[in-house]
Amino acid sequence: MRRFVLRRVLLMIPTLFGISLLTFGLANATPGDPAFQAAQRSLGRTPTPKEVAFERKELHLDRPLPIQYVDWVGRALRGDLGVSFATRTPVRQELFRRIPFTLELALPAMALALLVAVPAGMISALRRNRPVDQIVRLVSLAGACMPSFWLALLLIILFSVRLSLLPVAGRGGLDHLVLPVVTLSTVPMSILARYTRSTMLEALGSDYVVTARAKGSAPWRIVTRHVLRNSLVPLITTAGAQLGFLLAGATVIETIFVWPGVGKLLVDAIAARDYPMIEGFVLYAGVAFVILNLVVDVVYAAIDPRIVVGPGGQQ
Amino acid sequence: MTAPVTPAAVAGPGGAVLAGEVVVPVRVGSRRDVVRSLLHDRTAVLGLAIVTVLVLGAVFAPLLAHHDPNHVDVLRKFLPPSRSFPLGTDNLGRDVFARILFGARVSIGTAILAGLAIGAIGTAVGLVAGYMGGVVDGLIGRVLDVLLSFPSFLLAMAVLGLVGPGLKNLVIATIAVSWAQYGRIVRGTVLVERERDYVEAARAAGASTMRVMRRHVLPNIVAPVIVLITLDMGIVLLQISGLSFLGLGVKPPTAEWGAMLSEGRNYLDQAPQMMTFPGAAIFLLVLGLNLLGDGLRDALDPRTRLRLAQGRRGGRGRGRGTPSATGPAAPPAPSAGAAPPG
Repeated sequence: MRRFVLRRVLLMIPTLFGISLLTFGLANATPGDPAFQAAQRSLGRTPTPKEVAFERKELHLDRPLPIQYVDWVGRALRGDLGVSFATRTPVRQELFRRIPFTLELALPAMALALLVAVPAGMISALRRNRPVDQIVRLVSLAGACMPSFWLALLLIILFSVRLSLLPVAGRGGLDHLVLPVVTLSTVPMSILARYTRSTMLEALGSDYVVTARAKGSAPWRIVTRHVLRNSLVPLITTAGAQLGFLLAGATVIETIFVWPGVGKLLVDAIAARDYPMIEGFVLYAGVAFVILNLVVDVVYAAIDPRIVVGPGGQQ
Repeated sequence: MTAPVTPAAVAGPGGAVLAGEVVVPVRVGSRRDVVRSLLHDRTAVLGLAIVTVLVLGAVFAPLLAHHDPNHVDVLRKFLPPSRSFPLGTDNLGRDVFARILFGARVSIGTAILAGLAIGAIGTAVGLVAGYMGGVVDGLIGRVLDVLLSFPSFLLAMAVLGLVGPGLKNLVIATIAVSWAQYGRIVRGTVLVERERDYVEAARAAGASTMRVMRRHVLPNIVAPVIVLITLDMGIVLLQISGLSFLGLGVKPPTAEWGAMLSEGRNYLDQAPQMMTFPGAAIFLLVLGLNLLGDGLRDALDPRTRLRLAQGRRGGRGRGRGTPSATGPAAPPAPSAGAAPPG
């Protein structure tokens, strides 16, 4: 197990290196001359060529790209991602300030998705082709195809505009959480329900279930002892991936509900052409997702020893 | 919003995708068999019908619309649906029906373009990585790792933020960040395919690496790729309209479904039709593509067809639930890979 974790951590290094290269490359792909823009911002007027040259030297933009890259990585490792053009605050500080707001939506949404999806998928599989199954399949298919921004607006029209039950947007009491959390959870909920159903069906059709049946185990015992244990494990990985999608989806949902999370931060940064903020976001998001994937893999391996040992009995 | 079905989750028609690795490839029956089996699948036919209607609407937009989609007339703004304006008018008095039809050209057009490009790039890269192996595979694998470590929607957004918004950039950014998932799946398929006898036979006959890849391996992996593209086209549409909704796509007054929804946001009370209909169009197309894709997968998978023939227990075995078709024998790739926003 320790070797598995170690190997998995070492595998992260090329990925992290790639993410840093990608971010640096994107940063250099921004249109316009950064030295000119920086000079313009600090002077508040169109700079002379001399002033641009001075700024270029000041920002070390006259050095070769590889040196600039090493410099930049060094600063990023120390947590220095530059200063936001828009807010004039350090990028890292602003990102960290906003993360809790996003989690405030994302974690309840994920919990809600799992709480509904897993039982629904199980019932659907156990009552295959019965009306319950048909309903779960229909609803989960619709949910998975739903553009979340459309769903958000439909819910706002119904619950906020027409029925005046819930606030339209903004952050406040618990009632402010309802619509964004429900919207955000719809897609992962649908996908997880479909996934639970198919893993359950797979498990129900497997040899060990046939054996258990043949040996005369009670049906509920088969489900709890054999089917559930085997079909819920892969769900962890899927749920982990869904959490990633959910964080991406938060950009749209936060924008619609004017929620001050990192998603809205990115959207605002793009609107304001706040390049340091966008770059910082890419770098941090990349690192965060790599870590998330690592955690998911390790948890998975901890639960299912087959992953560590491998089919060949080694590794 | 997230992917309706992520490519890793849909698996290949032949069976399970393991951690984005092995797709058991499909032996396709005769083309007529596939069509017949598809037409017997009621939900697939429904999907095909939805997609066909929307595509025809886009193609014949100038004939079907009574009004110019960009004709502004503030005197008739916020009109409810009527005979002259089947879906009402928007805040500038433009015909919502006409804008949906002309918007379909942009929305469907970009989704098809991006979907095909993503499929082509991903297939080519996956084919090369899987067949060549070694250093090439290793290098490509690292690139895939990086791209798959982000949800593609976020990455596309950031790229657009840096290079600037606009429809062209949006399509390019979407293609650039979304092909990795295909690359991984196709690579897995090719790894299996490479070991088959026909590859050895072709090699023994003196075919070059390039020729074996193109003439022998590629035709054998085309079926799963078609299914993937169909299912993925919906995701691409969601992604493009989502980015457009955020204002990163078309410039006004061009009609596009995501942008229309975004305009409608400000008039939820006065003119809900500005928001309900473009959203419904996106939803229907994604739904249609999913139904069609699932049907194609079943039609191309002989094992499902066999089950259909046996006609077991009223279950018109629509793959989805049948273990062999979707069966996640192992988890899909744990990466937070390609998918539009949740």
